[in-house]
Amino acid sequence: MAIFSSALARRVIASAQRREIFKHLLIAPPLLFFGAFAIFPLLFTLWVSLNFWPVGGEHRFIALANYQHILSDFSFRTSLRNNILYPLIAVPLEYALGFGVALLINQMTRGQRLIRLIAFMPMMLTPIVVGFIWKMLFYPTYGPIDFVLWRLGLPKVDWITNASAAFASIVITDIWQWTPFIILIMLGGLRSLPVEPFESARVDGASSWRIFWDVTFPMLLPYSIAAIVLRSIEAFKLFDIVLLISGGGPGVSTATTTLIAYFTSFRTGNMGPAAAMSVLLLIIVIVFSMTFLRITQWVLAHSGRV
Amino acid sequence: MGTASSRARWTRTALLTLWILFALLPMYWTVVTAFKLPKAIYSGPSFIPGVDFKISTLSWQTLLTEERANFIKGILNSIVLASVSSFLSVLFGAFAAYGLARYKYDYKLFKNDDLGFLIVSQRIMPPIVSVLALFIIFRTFGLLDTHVGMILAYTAFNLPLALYLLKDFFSGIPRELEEAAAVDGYGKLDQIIRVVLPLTAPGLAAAYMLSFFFAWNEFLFALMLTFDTAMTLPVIITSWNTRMEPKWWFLSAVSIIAIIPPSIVAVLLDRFFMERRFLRGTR
Amino acid sequence: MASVRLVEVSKVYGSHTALGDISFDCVDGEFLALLGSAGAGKTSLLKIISGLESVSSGEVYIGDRLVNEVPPEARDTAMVFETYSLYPHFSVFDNLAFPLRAPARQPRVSSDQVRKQVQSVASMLGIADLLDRRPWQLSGGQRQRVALGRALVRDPKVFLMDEPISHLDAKLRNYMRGELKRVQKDIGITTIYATPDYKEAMGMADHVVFLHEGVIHQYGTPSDIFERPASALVAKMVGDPAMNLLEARLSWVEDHFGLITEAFALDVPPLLTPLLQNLEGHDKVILGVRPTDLIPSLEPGDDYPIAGRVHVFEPLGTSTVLTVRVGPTMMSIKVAGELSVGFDDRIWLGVRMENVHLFDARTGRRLRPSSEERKKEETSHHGQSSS
Repeated sequence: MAIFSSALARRVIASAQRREIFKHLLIAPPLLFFGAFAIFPLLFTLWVSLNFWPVGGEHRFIALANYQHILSDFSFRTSLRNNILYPLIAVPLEYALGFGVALLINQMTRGQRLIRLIAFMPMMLTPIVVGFIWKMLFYPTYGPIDFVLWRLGLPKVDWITNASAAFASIVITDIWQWTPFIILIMLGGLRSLPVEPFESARVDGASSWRIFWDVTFPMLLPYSIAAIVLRSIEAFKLFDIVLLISGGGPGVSTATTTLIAYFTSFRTGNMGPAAAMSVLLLIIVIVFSMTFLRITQWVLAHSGRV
Repeated sequence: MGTASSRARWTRTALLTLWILFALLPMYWTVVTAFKLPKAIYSGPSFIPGVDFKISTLSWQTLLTEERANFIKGILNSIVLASVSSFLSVLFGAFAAYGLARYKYDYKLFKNDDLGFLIVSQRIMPPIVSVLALFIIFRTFGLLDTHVGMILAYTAFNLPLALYLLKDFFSGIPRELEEAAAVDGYGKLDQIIRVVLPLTAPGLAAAYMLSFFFAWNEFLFALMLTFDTAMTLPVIITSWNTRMEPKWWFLSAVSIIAIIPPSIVAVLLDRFFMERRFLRGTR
Repeated sequence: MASVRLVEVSKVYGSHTALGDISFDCVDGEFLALLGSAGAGKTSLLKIISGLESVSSGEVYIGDRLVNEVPPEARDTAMVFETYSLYPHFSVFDNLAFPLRAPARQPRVSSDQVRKQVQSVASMLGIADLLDRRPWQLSGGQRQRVALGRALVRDPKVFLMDEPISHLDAKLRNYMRGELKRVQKDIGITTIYATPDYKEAMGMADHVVFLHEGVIHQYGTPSDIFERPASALVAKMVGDPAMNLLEARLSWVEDHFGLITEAFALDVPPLLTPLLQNLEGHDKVILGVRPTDLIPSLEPGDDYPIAGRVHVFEPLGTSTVLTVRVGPTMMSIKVAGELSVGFDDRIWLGVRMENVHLFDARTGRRLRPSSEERKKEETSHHGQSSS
């Protein structure tokens, strides 16, 4: 009897453990990757930001000295300003344009698939390539944009040495590449809408404008919010385009924080300040995200949706 | 009815056409420039092939002769990194998605529902934050400029996305199919491989394509973590850009090539989103 | 081929007890029906036997082997699921072949052998021409047969079936009832069959286990269940139309017992008096009268103590079923032949008291005379001889 029960006990433990281990093994890789490539680097960067950290040399703890240094650095402050301005200007424009184009596409009866494909192309391209293409377009001497402007009788714009123009060139490129993202989301939303409210509004004799504001827009609120939030979060990471088109210039007037951090780390070989810049950028993004989350919840609660 | 609505329709068509032109023209310009001669570019913009300028294949020749080594290196690296890391992302993501769909996890900091938060937080963090640390870490472990290092980095980069996409797919597979397979003599692993995975194939394909797409276009990681052997196409394009400016014709040709893989992915994805799953016939 | 034995098996989910103290024996080669309504625990029981669920306590034996810790893939049982669970990405052929191709299977089955076995099972079930189809291309009846075939193809020790024909139309169901019984007898595999339909249980099984809310109410042959239902619930389930069950109070009138319901009173014949002596501490019983044990009369009389009005009548050809409103309740009567009545006609009913069933109103259990009571204890309803 005793032998019987101990063999039984052993098998009980074995099978229970087998099941448990299996379950944990399944989720282990993602958790490990997340820990190794997201959490640990984050903490490590935090630590580096508190150090003088030359690559391949001794590092020295200097507490908040890096932060003091960069906050008084003109390049960094400019980049912070830009990092906030770019989303602030570009995203609303992308949203308005994207929403509009989505509405237009949605009303197409034939050939919608082809138009959709063309409309989505820009966001599919490698950002570096997009940067290159628009650099080519904006190029002063023989670029097509200035050529067209001249032909239209408008003054030529100096996209490279004029700070505002350079800034605008980046915004325009960003709009070109990422408005399709908004179109994608809003189109998805439009196609998911039920037909009835629109039919009854038509029957009631409402004008297109009215229908849009009273029916379409409110019903698409969740999509609008998703599109704006997602796009804004990505906009904080702006780097590829800026590097290619203006290199941050003229001077640093178009640079983003990522760009400045990158340049700093490579020019001086000291990772400390760059890390500090990254941390501050992260804080800004987090603050923004939380604020946006609050606003989103408030908007959704007050728009009559649960 | 009448002029008011047809005027509205014309406006709409006009506006849409404007946007399509806006989207198309830069791409058109690139394609066209790839076939121009240097002097055709420097003498001022020309728009129509054959009429404004002579069609030439100089860029392509350069691509295949002088710059061949770099070009092949860039493309091969991009292909290898993107395809392998996507495969790993989907592999690990699929098994983890199965776990999340079937089991209850209750670690202190992570439960089943926390997945969404995990994904979002990984997306919010600007890559510069992690890449600086990774640079130091990779350097310490000799992973800098290696294929292995980049594959690991890209897998980590894409895993949350794959997981998120696949989690719903796996939840949708009825548990009873695995029960039937169990009674039929299949152990848990075999149940997953023979029964569950085939049924999630569309989801796996979508996750793979999306991961491939993001890995192919990725730049900052590649820029900082590679400098020679493992350089990807975007990095090489950038180095050409600084080195060879302004040889537009050549860079346009490269851009066209760089456009092809993501375009294929885009077309395939579009078709995927149109199909429905074929999970019927179990009743 | 093997026997199945459950000893005091219980299954608890958190605070909910799905199965409590289940014990029974299923002999090798036997057809055992698990009869119970939805939620009775039939599926849980089948899952425990197959290994898909573990027991909270108790033991499960297949053959003489204790299989509590044996995973389902190693128990050599086959299961036909209520929803068939066919593999949608496989053809019918591959569905049938799947069990034979299990990697852990010893000995390995060659692909020739696989083809042969699949072919023979498919022909036996009449689906040989469907082998290339996919499950979604099949009708309900065809899918059911594929599910059956998948279970048959590998000659398991035990066959477990969970309401396999409940989703077929009535005619097909009747047909399959006979077919399944036939197949089982031909092949001789131990079969445990769950169903809420008493006709299936009665018609197909050698023994029936009546399950209600996770507890066995009765184990016996189909005729045991029918003739001597162990509780009011069992009685209610078996019979079409169902047995009439009414609450009644016991009273002593002069020299005999009487049963008083809300609507009528009956004299208890001396034959039944021993049954009532075991009623402890109260006087409430449940009276069970089969529809076939009621005699209708269009005129009142001493022999027809129950008065009522015709609510509905259904002429079914060889018999007629009447639903009669008696006081606040409805009673069903079934008579042979035709009976011409009209709606709301007054009608009087007599009762064949010798066929009446009596149950303790408090416990629901069948009332038995003391001697039978003692005898029943010895051959317990576990269906196994005392160890």
